[in-house]
Amino acid sequence: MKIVLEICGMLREKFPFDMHAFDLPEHSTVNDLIRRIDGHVGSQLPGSVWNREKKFFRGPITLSIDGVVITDYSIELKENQHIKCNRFLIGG
Amino acid sequence: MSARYDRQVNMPGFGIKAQKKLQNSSVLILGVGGLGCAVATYLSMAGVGRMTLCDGDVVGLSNLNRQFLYTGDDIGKSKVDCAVRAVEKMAPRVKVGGINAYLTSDNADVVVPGTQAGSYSMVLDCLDSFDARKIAIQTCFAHNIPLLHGACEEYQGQVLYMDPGLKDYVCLGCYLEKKQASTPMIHPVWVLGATAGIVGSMMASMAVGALTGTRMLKNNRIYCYDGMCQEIGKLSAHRSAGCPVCGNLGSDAEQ
Repeated sequence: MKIVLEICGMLREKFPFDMHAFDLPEHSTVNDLIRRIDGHVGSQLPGSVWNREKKFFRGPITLSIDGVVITDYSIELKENQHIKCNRFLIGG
Repeated sequence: MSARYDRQVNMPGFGIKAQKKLQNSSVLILGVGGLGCAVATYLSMAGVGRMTLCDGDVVGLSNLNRQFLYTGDDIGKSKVDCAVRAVEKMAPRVKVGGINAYLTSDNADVVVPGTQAGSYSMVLDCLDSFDARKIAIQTCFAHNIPLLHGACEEYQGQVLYMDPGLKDYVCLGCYLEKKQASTPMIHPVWVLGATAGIVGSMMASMAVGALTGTRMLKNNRIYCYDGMCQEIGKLSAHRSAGCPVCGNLGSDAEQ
């Protein structure tokens, strides 16, 4: 199934794409998508953005679908879902 | 009413009544960095009655790209002391006080509620760490005080209103996947001064609306400012019993 990942805000400059369609097997979860991001671009991303050991973003991020944040990464994704990825900000 | 406030008092829907409400309100600003300088400036100039600034830091050279309440002469001095002086000069009608300390779990129950004679109408989170924010959220919830959160980095900002007295309470931690709530921040944080100014101004504008009753702020709406394309988006979340910040507060969290 096709899942579109859109990179937003300041992360956009650090990713090799603004938007990318991943082809994932049926019943894939958000965790599966993150593994796919690691395989696809993990090695190209700067260490300030991607933790290669943990195979995850360095620093907090939000993933959202239709304006609602996903906090459980074990949920199954659905065909053609559009996921937006944004840095969760800490500075003041 | 002083002519000082004419330009806002005469705005449609504002009026003397709103100005008086602002004058009777009291705010606590946690953190007087990039956001705190903008928030303190606009709220004091708008005519908030009482303001307390809380920060344990001293002014550093790298602060001066955005923290406009300070000058080169203030380097090494307490931010709170300098900010209090600057606000008093800018807005002499405002009763401004300072707490020269960082917010911690040890002092939160004294700092956040204020004194009985002067409890706060609103707390503004201009902090720069998730741990301190967690303390602010939990303490404001316990004392039923509305909390307006802001954060900024590089060209981006976010603002979230958390009022324990309104329905659909969702805290900042509810926006994070559980494991990420303990993710350390990346130091140092880079930020454009103008970004801090815009986000701080958004906070001040929302605070004036809520304090005067001219705007009803809603819970569960995080405003995301993107200065790279000058867009403001909105995100919402579901309150979760598993939230590391508010999961054990109240009883309406989703199980």
